[in-house]
Amino acid sequence: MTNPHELDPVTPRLAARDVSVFYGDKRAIDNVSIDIADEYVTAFIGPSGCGKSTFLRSFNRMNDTISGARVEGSIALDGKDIYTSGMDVVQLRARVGMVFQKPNPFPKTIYENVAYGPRIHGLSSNKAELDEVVERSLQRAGLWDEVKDRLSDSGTALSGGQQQRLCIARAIAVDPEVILMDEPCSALDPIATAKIEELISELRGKYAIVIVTHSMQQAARVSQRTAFFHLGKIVEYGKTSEIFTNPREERTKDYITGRYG
Amino acid sequence: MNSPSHQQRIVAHLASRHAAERRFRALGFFSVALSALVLGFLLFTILRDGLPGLDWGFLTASDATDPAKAGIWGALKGSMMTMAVTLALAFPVGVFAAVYLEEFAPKNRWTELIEVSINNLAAVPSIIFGLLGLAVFLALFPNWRSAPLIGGMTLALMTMPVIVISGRNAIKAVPPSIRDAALAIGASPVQTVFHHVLPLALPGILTGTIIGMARALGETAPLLMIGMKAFVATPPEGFTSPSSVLPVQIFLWSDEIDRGFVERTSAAIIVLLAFLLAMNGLAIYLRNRFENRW
Ligand SMILES: Nc1ncnc2c1ncn2[C@@H]1O[C@H](COP(=O)(O)OP(=O)(O)O)[C@@H](O)[C@H]1O
Ligand SMILES: [Mg+2]
Repeated sequence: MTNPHELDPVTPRLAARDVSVFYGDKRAIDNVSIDIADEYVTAFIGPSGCGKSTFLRSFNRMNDTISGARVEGSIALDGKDIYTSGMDVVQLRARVGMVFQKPNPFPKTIYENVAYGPRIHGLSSNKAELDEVVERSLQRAGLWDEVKDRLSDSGTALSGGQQQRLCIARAIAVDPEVILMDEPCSALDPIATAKIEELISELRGKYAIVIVTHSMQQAARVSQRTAFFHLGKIVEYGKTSEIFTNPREERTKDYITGRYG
Repeated sequence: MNSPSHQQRIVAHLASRHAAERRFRALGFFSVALSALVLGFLLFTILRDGLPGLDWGFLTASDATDPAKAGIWGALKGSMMTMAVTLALAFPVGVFAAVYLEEFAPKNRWTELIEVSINNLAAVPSIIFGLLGLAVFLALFPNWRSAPLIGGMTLALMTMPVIVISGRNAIKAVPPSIRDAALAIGASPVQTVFHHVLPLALPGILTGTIIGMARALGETAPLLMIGMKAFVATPPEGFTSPSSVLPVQIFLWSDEIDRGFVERTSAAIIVLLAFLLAMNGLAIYLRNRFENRW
């Protein structure tokens, strides 16, 4: 694969080196290296089962929650390996937020959903400050106008697209450096999807964003860097525009022209 | 596909399908009616025999040799205190055990063994728990014979596994996506459990608890084993003073030859049922409150 340093002369926020992920004896990710920078939205594409989610979950150590899962190699966040014993996972996850495939708001009020993160991390010292964080996060997630009059309604009463934006607001509320999104639109209708994509473009630059998507159009629309995964390896990583117009690898070309996947 | 013969086949089939539907409904209705009938008959005879004797004097007096003076207060208070001890011991221990087994315990041979043991414990006949109470609790505290504390401890032994099992099922039913959401925002495993999993599992846990408590309330055999069958003419003053409990009182009165005790027995059953209903009501109230929070 391409050395990402040649590609992007910027300091990477996340740097994965020779990462392999195992489920028991099964190797789901095989010696993958990649740099991820703040400036871009990075898309992971590839046929289902190729390990995109697995790799994404290794950035915030959500793989730790799966019994039998094991990660080898190193992933550095701001130059510091997140898999050393000195790294506190709780702190790591405050710095690397995640949005899941199926919207999963807490069955609590809209306000509580957003306030939860800042509260457990002790980020605001009083109610007024917390109110402010909640409002700012909902505004950034493009949800404020829709919910400002019903903050005490249940988060689960919102529509699917609103729920997903609530989940994004929840992640933003702790002011992370990275936001991981695992097919955030796959459960949404086209209009809700468009809103999320718009939101991702707005958030770009404020956070390093990594998005897994099975939609090539989506990758093309929202991302500036694309990594194509196949059978647990990165086949090709580069500028999104180049990957889609002029892929170097035959397998990439086959995939984006819909020959398999 | 939609040829006339195709349609005819479906129609020909339809009649027998509707008939099956009707048969099942009839069967279901019959079953419900039968149980309602039995219950109704039971309630009717008990109310008929017991209501006349259910007056203030009966509710405030304690056991006596003269049926006209015998009351239920001693046994009722004893039952309440026993249940309080049972709940105070079985609920926290049961819930913590369920949480630990479901959320934290490593999956190995030891935890498997513990799981199987707890499941078996729930099926152990209650008199065995009585024997255990006799052999262990009474051996340790011989002065507390017949006391609500010992009774409650004994009943807690048999209620705890019920709470563990229902608790585990309720915890298992909480969608994993909620745990993912909490962990991904940086909640620690313990915070995830206490902020998210337990509140969602609580209605189910409460349902299991009430089933366990209802069983414990009606339990007679283990309490007989630890001596709660003595004639106690005063309500228990504390958790360590000798006491009777409702089901044992009913058992003792039903054994009396004096005709006057027949009415007392029925009246005591009514009190026991009312206690049970009150406990159920409380559980339903709590469950609704927790469910409405979101
Ligand atoms: N929890 C798990 N336990 C065992 N195998 C898993 C687990 N999650 C994923 N896998 C396997 O790892 C491979 C990669 O899965 P995944 O990362 O979900 O792929 P993708 O997101 O690209 O569709 C698949 O073969 C899948 O079966
Ligand atoms: Mg996936």
